Amino acid sequence: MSGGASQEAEPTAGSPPEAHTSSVHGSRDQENGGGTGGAKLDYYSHEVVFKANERSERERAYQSTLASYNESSNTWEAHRERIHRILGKFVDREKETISKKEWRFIKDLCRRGIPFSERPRAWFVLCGAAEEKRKSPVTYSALLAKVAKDLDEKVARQIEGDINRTFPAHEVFQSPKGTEVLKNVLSVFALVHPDVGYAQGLNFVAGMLILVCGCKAEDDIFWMLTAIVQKRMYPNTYGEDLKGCHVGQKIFDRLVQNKFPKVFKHFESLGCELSLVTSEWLLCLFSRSFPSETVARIWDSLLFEGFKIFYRVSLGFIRLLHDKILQCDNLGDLITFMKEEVRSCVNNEQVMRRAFHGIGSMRSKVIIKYAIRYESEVEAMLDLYAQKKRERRSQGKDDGENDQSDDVM
Amino acid sequence: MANQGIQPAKLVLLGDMGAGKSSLVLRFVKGQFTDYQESTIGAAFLTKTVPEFKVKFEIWDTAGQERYHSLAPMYYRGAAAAIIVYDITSTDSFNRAKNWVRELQRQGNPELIVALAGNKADLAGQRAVEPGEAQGYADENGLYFIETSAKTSVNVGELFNEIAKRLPKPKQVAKEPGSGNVVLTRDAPPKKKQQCC
Repeated sequence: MSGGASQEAEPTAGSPPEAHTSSVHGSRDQENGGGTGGAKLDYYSHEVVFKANERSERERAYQSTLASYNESSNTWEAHRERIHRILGKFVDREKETISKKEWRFIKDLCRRGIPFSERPRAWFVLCGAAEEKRKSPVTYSALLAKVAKDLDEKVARQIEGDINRTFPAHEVFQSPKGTEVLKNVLSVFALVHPDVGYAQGLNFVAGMLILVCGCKAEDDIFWMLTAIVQKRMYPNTYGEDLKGCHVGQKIFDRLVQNKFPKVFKHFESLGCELSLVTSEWLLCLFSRSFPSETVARIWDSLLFEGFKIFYRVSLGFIRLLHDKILQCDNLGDLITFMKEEVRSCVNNEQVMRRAFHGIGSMRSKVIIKYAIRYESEVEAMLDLYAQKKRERRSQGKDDGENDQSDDVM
Repeated sequence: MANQGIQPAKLVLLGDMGAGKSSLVLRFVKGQFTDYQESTIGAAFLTKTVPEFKVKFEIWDTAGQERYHSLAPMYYRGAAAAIIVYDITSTDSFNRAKNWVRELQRQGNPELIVALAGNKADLAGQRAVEPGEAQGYADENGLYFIETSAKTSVNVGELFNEIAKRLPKPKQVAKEPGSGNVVLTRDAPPKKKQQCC
């Protein structure tokens, strides 16, 4: 990996809690001209549009997070040691020895934001990748060695086509190493999961992992991608016809309808479905939409607690914009407004506070009930769709065409 | 709306992944081009007003991969116009474009203006789809056809302007539509051949 991002993304031994707060990044901010607004780089060297005052608010938010660490542990060293000790239990198959208090500690840590320097290891362990890797009879490098021979040519071509189209403005993906790691990880994933193959969206999820964990962690990144797709995203999100994406979206729509009926009706009255804005969030777990430091902050809890955090954060974000959404009186303004708010959402503290304290209860029982209902609705819709597709194909054959452009699943 | 008489028109871009849908939109809306355009997931939304034709395009630029096809109806529903994009260096993408034409025809909206854009015209050296073949297909199916290059910006303005021209006028409904005709309209006058580049 090259450039400033890599140096920062590497966890520094014995780094103080400031590792994820303002002081370490202060120099970067100054390099980029201070807090006057306009396009700047975020903590993961991603370009982001800062709004005026946003920066100082963000600094304040970090300061309060830092203060809360000091309350919970006497020193940063002790705090870090505790994190390592508990993560170790996850890895060493000693999950049953993790006390309730320790679980709470980890959950709390994830919800408040994992310190910058601890993030790569914490993600690897908490999303279930460590376990996947341990359980697997084959190593990543053995799988990688098979790619050249066994990966379907069409899938390989699709991956190739998207490699330079993943965070193209970021220096990591302008470097040969960054694109190589991305390509390898996606290729092995496609080889191991022929039911998914390659789906657009995976490139951004894998790309985000590379930004946070660094290119050297290629092996671990593959296992993280596997664990996230299998256990943390809505099931079948990337499957045929993106079935899981449709279901997850419908559940989300319903939650919005329950919690923010005015917003839901407003979208309806403008002839607009929520998914026009949110399907990208769902398919990339926010990584293509929000500034990457905000994404990292969301993933801290999403990778530990699972997909319900997606609903929480999305609802929290809608809550945050609630009144302004209602003020947009045409579709164009609404969509543009929301996209801009998302792109410049650096004050992640604000969003996370709404997600966990601003949307009321969200019971798993209710979500499961919706899931069952919408699974069958979506199945019926996709059956109809598949029938139309067959008709189109047969018409195409009558016209003497040979359509080979379909995905290879 | 601030601009009097400016009508919003929903326009959707469809086509294979990597054909250049987002690049065409970026070139038209912002006059920019980048070699590596971030892959579109779901859809992107942009607007552009063409004062000359009193139209504000509300553009939905969709994701190209086949499995994303199931999301597309949400984007093309209620559209006034569609641009189906293929890459002139890829026959697969041309076949995929034909698939889209069939799908739109089955939606049964005779007012929908459909354009077929053969993009990456700057790569003529690697051409796999002849303009004559595409023009023939477009004529058979009543589409407006043009070859474009988002990279060099050749014909990009022409493509969008032609669509703007063909959009139904707010009051005097399409008695005398523009010179190139909207052939999908049931009562459209006899079509004239549109020359491509």
